[in-house]
Amino acid sequence: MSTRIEIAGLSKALAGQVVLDGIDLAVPAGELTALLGPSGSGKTTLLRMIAGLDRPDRGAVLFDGEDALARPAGERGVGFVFQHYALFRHMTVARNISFGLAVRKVPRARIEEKVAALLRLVQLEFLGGRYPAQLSGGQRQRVALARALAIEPRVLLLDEPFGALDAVVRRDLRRWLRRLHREMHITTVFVTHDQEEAFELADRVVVMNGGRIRQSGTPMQLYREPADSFVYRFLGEANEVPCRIENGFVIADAGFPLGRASVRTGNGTAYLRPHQLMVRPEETGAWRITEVVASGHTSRIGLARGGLSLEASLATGQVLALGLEAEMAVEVEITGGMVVADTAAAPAPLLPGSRLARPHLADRPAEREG
Amino acid sequence: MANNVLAAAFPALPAGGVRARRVLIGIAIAFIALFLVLPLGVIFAQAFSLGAGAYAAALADPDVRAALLLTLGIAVIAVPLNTAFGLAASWCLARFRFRGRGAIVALTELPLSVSPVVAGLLLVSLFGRSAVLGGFLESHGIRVIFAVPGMILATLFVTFPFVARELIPLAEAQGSEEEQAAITLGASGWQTFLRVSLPKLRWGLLYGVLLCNARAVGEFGAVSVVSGSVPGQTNTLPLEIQTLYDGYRVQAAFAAASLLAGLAVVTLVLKAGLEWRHRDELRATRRARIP
Amino acid sequence: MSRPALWREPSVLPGFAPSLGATLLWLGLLVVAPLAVMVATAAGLGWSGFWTLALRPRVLGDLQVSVSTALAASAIDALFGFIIAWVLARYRFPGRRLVDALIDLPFALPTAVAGIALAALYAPHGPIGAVLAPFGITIAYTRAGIVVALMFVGLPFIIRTLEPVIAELETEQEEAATMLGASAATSFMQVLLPPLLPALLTGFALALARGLGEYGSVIFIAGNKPMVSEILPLLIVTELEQFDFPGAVAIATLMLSASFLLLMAVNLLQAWVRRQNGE
Repeated sequence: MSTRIEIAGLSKALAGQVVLDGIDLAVPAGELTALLGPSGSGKTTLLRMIAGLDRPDRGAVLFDGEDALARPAGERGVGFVFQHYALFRHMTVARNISFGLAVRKVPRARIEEKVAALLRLVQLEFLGGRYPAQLSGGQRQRVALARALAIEPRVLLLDEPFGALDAVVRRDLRRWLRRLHREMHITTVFVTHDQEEAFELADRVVVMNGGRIRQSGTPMQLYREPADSFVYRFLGEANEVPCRIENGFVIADAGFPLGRASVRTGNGTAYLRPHQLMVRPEETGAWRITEVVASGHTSRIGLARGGLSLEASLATGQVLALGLEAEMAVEVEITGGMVVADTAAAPAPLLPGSRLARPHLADRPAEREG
Repeated sequence: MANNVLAAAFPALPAGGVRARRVLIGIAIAFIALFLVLPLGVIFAQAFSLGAGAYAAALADPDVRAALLLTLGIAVIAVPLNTAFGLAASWCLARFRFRGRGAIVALTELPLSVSPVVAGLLLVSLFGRSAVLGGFLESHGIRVIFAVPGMILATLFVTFPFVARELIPLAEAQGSEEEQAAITLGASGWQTFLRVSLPKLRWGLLYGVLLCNARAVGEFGAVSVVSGSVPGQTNTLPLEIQTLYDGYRVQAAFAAASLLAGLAVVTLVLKAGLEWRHRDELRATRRARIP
Repeated sequence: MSRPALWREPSVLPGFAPSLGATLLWLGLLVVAPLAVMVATAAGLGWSGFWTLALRPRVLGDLQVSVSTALAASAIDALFGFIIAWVLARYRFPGRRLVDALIDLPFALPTAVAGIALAALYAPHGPIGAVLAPFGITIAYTRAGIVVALMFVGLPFIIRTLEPVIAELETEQEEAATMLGASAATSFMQVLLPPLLPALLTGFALALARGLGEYGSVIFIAGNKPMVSEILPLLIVTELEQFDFPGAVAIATLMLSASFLLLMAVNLLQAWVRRQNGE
């Protein structure tokens, strides 16, 4: 039942605008893959091409090695869940679900059996007679999913599946979908612009921008080894610090060390996530707190030193325990981050150790450079 | 006073609000009663002015019956043809984006701004005896002008925007996602059209057909130009009304008119009912509609 | 990358070619072909031949009748249509839905029926005519009769274009103007009227276009006296009946040009409305 998807050199231009630019991607059978990117990155177009709703100018889409582009959308065996569900508004829930079977002339008894099973699967047993307009957003989403699953698709495609839902429903539905996928093991690709959603649901995340794939890998890989600053920034908030690198030491342009990196020299930018900054009060500290903003269980701490402003995020409990408040002098420890240097092709991790300068440690990673 | 009336427009204004509001509503109702209701009432009053017997006799007149049949016959041909046209036009104009689309949309609305008399003349210039096409047809024994075919063409011309202009904005507002979903679920083009698009558009379609029919049955100017107005042969009901009225058979003319007025009232009731029950669905049409 | 710009955006939906083909066939047969032949006929008259026919005294006289009556009727409709649209959009009162449904009566009622009904009402012995006669006012068989008929057919155009625009106006703007100390007249002129003006003008232009071309409802109540109470469409019919085809074509070409100009004006007005709404 599980189908492997391979995509090679997929390109598309519309009215002179490049929408997709040479996409190569393999989706292993049974995996749950997220296409993650900002709007206009081409992720929805890619999904619609896999479905057969849009046609590429060049490139190939293979399902288990066979050419999918040669088949029209209706014969690809693709279940597609539209962003706004596209439920047939004049049909009941049951008729919506049975549509794909009815147009295939499946016997009525078989259809009824199947619809009942699907209604159970999506936990809407008692709503088969309702019309889409009488359902909540989350219920509609599940009907759309049941309708897509009814044709026993080889591949399930979802376009921003949670985009139109409020936060609580979104979270529940996400977990439910994850469970469903674990049970059914159908190759699934979904589009999202929400990195949290992508990370929570997907086995593999494909980050797209400007019609290209910037990086693809497991959520952990992406988080640990982002391929470039775009991916890094897209996966979470980041402080950007202009810096230079001397002998493997990363020094902020504002004039103080940030840490070490596997790059020997050069100019560049250091990226620091707010939670990678540890703050502790110290009367002789070089940093000053500019503001403390509590928002729920985490707090944002504004920090300043030598004309540089950073933002740290700490557990609110910790902020209270440490007694952090504005205008306080503090010391800041940088526990991690990323450095993009003009002399290196790939970004390098920022390693802690600015205060314990040990030159030989800084030298060692630099050997890998060539 | 003027200020008082203006003040009614502004709920926030404390002074004169209620009274001037009443004045405005009063003006509106009086105007409608005088200019719309009274003419409608006078039709029935005149039709029955000589009693029910005379009314029945007027309607039993063979020329009136022939006119009624011809009117219905023309509508039975013109309305389905223009419904089919409206569906085809809404499919290609609302579901696809292509060059020249705007020009075609404008063309579909054209008959609404052309005088019915000019519409009739347009057909005469193409199918008249002295025209190339008309002369050719005439020499083959096919008469268009001053005959029923011309009257059908004239009716087709003046009524063809009605279905199309209800459906195009409605289909555009509804979008094509449901159709795309049907395609991914394996439906063919016809299955998609019949099972998804048509039911989706049904109330707008009914609305358009209703208006198209009202105009087809009531068209006067365009049909009168291309008809020879021969009672019993090429007179539709509106033309028969003219013949009777000009022949000083006023009560008979109003009796015939009462049939069309009755149909107009039924049309209005159905139209209001549709607008009321399906107002969300029809909002797109109403918003985009210029009558 | 220089690729030819797309003639049509690709779509997964089938049926584009047949539906477009059917649409073009229908439009070609009913609109384009007759229009082309008539324009060719008009062109065949020659420049001076055309203007000789188009500028005959009777044509000019009837044109003056048609334009003046249509303008007058549209203007009166604009005033009362504004009030009725306002009342329908802003107030809830018993019978509102009935009034709303009645507005479309002129669309639904065949023009010939409306024509004889108005003639009967306004004739010297008719219910309204008899009331006005003692004051020396005659409406039927004069220009005033034409105006009344054109008012009847034009009214829905004003109301139906204005009503949705009024309904979407925020009362807050008027309230804000009042709070800022504006008088009712000032807020009407400076806050309320400007956003409604394009819609009002659109309705006016549509009613005018309809009025210029109207035939059925007018001929029964008008006196049909050349250059006094005869409208241009009737002149076309008369000339056709006298087999003066070139004369009819010349007038029809004139009228078609007028409708195109009005249609263009309406489109410009609609573009103005859209710009105002920031679309």
